Amino acid sequence: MTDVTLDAGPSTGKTGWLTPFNLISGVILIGGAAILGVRFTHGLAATTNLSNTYPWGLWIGFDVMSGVALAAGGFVTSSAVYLFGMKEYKPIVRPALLTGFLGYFLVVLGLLADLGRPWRLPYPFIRSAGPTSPLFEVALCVALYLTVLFIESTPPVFEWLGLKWWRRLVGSMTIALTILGLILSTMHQSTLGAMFMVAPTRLHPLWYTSHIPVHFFVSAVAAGLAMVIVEGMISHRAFHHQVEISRERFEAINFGLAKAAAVTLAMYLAIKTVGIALEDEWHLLATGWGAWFLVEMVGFVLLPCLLFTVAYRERRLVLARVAAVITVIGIMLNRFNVSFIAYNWNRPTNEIYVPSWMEIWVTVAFITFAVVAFKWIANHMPIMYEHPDWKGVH
Amino acid sequence: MTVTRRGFIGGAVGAAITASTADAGTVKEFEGYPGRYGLLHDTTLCVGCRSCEVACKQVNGLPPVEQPIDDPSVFDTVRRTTETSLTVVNRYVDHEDGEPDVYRKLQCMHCNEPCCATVCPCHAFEKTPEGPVLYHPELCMGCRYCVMACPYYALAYEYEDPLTPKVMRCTMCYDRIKEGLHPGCADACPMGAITFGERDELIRIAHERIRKHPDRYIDHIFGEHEFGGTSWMVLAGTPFKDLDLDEGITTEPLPAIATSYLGVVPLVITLYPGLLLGMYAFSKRHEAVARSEREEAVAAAVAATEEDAQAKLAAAAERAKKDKERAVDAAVKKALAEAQEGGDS
Amino acid sequence: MSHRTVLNSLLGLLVIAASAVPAIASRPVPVRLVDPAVVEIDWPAAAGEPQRPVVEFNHGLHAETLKNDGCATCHRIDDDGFHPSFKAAAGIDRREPLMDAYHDGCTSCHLRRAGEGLKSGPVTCGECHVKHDPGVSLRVAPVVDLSLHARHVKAFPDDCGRCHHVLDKATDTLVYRKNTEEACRGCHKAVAVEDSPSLRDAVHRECVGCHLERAERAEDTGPFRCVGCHDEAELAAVKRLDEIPRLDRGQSDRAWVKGLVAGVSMVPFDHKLHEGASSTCSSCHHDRMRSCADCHTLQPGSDGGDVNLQQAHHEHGSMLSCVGCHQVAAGRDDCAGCHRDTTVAVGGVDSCAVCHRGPKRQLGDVPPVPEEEPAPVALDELPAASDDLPEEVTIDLLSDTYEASKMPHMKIIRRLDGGIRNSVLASRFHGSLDAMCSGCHHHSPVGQRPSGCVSCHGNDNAPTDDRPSLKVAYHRQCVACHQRLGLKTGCTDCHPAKEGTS
Repeated sequence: MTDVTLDAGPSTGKTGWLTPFNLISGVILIGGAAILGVRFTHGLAATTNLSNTYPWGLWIGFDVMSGVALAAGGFVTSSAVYLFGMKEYKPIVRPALLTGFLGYFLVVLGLLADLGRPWRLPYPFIRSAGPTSPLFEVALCVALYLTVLFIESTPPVFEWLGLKWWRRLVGSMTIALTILGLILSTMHQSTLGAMFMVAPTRLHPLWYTSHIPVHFFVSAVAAGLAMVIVEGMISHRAFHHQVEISRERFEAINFGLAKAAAVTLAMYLAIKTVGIALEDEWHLLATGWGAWFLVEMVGFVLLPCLLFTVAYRERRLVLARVAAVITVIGIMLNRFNVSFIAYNWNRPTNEIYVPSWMEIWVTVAFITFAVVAFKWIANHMPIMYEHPDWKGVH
Repeated sequence: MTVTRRGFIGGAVGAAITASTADAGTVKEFEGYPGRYGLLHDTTLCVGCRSCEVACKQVNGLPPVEQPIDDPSVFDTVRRTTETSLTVVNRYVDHEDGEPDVYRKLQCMHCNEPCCATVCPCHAFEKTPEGPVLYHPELCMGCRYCVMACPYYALAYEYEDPLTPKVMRCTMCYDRIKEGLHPGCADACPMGAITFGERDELIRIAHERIRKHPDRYIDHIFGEHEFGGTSWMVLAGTPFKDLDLDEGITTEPLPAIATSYLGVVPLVITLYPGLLLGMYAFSKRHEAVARSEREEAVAAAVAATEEDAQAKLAAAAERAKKDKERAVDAAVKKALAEAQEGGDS
Repeated sequence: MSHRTVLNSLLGLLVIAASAVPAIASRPVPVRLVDPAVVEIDWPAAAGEPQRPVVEFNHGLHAETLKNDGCATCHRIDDDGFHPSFKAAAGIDRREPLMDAYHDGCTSCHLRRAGEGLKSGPVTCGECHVKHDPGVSLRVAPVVDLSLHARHVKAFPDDCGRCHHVLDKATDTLVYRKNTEEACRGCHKAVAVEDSPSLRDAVHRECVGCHLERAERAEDTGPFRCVGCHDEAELAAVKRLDEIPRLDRGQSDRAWVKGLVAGVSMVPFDHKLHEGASSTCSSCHHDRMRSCADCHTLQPGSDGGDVNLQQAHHEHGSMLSCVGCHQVAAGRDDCAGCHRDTTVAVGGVDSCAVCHRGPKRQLGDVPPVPEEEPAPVALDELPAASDDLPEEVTIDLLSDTYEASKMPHMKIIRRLDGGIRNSVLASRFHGSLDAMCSGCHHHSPVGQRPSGCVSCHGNDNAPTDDRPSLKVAYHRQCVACHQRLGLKTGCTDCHPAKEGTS
């Protein structure tokens, strides 16, 4: 799905913008905008299948919760490179940060669609704060982290615009921003899980533990690593002309990520198992919900962990990519389980929530928007390569 | 904005920390505002007439009941509260024999420690000293965390409203209580299955009823302690779990569970910078050590090469010197030999 | 993929699968129902701790299989009659001999039959000594009620000694003494005590033995298969007499319930009447056929089982006491409208005089009971409707959403009156109209015209739990009764809605 006008530099517009990619994404985006129009003229009831028993659906489960988890690649890679000195991963930091920034932007878009009165989003900060609420903490951290990501995403902009002084300024802030990003990410990734601790009677015991925050944070790290691999898989092909590093170097980076993902997933599996042992929930594994839980654990955590290990040991990139895709789906599955599948598990089956096609379309539209933005930015700014004036600089 | 109990529970970023941590210790001893009101629902008296539903709609100006009062088929399904029905009555036990059926009225329980108030990021809920939990729609941004959190499934949201949706729930007729009246449902119930009064008094009344009629009641007042206690309490003759209550409900207040993790936030904010700077310093030091080792190795290699070169040079010089001496010797010999020959002729 | 990786992956999956084993193993197990004809073979305490699980022995199956061979195959039948225990193991209580007795007795037969090609039973250890999940036996205990007893009396007139006996210690023989007959469990308890065999052994020996003998003589007989007495369905099918002749044990028709203190009014107890109201003598004479005061004394004592005499007569909630049984009887459908809470006495202290109407007790001699049968209770005719006893009462004090309610006052009274006249017990306690009226018109002096509900249940804003508001008083009184009687309880069944309201 490469674009014929793809090259380093502003698009010439010669062959026009009537490409298949642009057409399809245009249709999706226009359709999404139309549905949002309906949402704001006829209410959430007209566009979603939300109910009083299921107040949170796909827009929260995917756009907010999965979005935040999958955008974790930003802080993981920047911490690895800038704080832990793993300089060999430098080439993927910018794409990962851009993915992160667009991911969090998608979170905000999802919130704006889902909130009853989205124009009141700043209320907790400017009008009436509810600091006892985990959601308040999430909102604050996400807002701050979005700012951090935004600043961390400006170096390529300044390089592109030739604003050297600004570029040096933000470059000097890198360590501080990375530390701040890791702090904020730890807090809001885990607190997203802590949000569900208020509902012990509504979330199935296999998913509800007092350690949900830790589970969410560890799985977010794994999700971020997997997402970086997935994003690299797509970008490497789409922006092939821009990429400067050698094939071997690129593969080495991916295998390093695969190794890290394997270890993280193994840790996640371990703490999940300990969680079950602590609450003595083994007998629940024999129930229908237990089987579903095992599907999530075995098929989407254990399996990619093994695949990542094999990929790393045998130097097979395809396996690593397959494992990354499975992990991404697994994280989404976990977030969906916690927000609307295993949540209300004890309600009668005629009350279950299934997302409406409009909710799905809007979510796809948001993702499309992020992809289009990523494409435009990567085509115009030094994301996939180093700007010649700034080669080798922090 | 009145200062409420919720404000005492702290643990989040920013100003809240300074306001809260000093008073956090008093939360455990706070027994609740004295003289606060409550309601006692005696399910052994409820006959499912739904007069409470009608009265609630009238008092709150909501659309009338959809199914007529005298149509018992409404009880064939188990209903829940909605944005236009702040309370509903369900039939939970349908006795085929002569035993009377068992009904229960559902509505917001006005918990002593409401988790909806704790989880609202906009602080739109307020636990009043009189007992009811109030909702302030002018502060609400519509995140519906409260709807998600309520263990009694009591809250509903106006999904049909595009621009001014509100959370809809029983208000315990707060305005009527302030005027000295009773909640609409309590006044309407012909069987006296709903008793309004001070919560402490209601607990006493409930225990007295149980004592007087031990065959009729299960010896337990639901809501006395569940999840920290509720203002709406329930008496029953059938097990509470058959009435869709008491599924895994403990006595620990939900806000405590919900906010327990937030205590980690200050730790992360204060410890992470040092930790991460330390890691950064370690990685930098690691780099520096590696670099200096590299330089040392380079220097050593250079030195070795130079030494080698020097040695070679010296040897070459020696050789050259020797060659030169030999050449000189040879030339001298030749010159001498030539001189000798020249002298002889 | 290298071998090592494959192996590691499989190992990982195996670990996950293995963790499911405790999950599956801890599933709840459905309750195991045990046939009534299955008994657990006794293992006496003297034989020590059993090493293998107890054997569940299907007696019914064996009896059916060996019916042509006869019960003597396993049971000793001699001049003393039928012995219910397994003859090979009878009288042995030490481990080795007992074990051998059963093994020889059982497996030898099984082996023999198997050798003859017949349907046979287990021969290996584990097939008999099966470790079962705990089960619930479907075996019910039969009751010899007055109907069954009368049928036996009809079969053996004037032959009480056939079943009833006492042990004469002097001669150490079982003798029959007239008018001392008891229920078997009066002497025969759950376990054998000294000379007295256990209830199970005694009953099987006497009843089953007799039934077997008569069966062998092809005479009309009772059941001897386990299920004949121990199966719920078969018990329900046992023939019952419509008219049960009175059991004669030399008991008096009437007796004084004297109490133990001077001054209390004695109760002229109509024993004959109460015999007709119970299915067995044990309904009241729960242990021995004696007077209550023989065991239950003024203070709780060991004979009376910590129940003193006053409790024995008056305890609410116990079917063995006078008041308790009367209350339960008052809870039946016709009466449940008022008597819906059988733990609360309706009528209060006025009802004491209904029973305590005899002369005051003097210590020393007690006057004899009157000879004549007590006259049946003559209830006055219901008066006709009048101003004081309206045919219909219009309740309109609270009429708001609904029209006034036209209560069919006399219709209710006539119905209640009919129910009272149907019952001797009710007639006694509701001797006058006033007693019935106070069911609804409670907490008010009974007179010509009871006061309206509003006199006490003012429509005030602060009702107490004991005195609800007027609307609640109306509805609780009426609806609760209607519920118990299965009458209509819809709002518009009693008062139509006003025009223009929902």
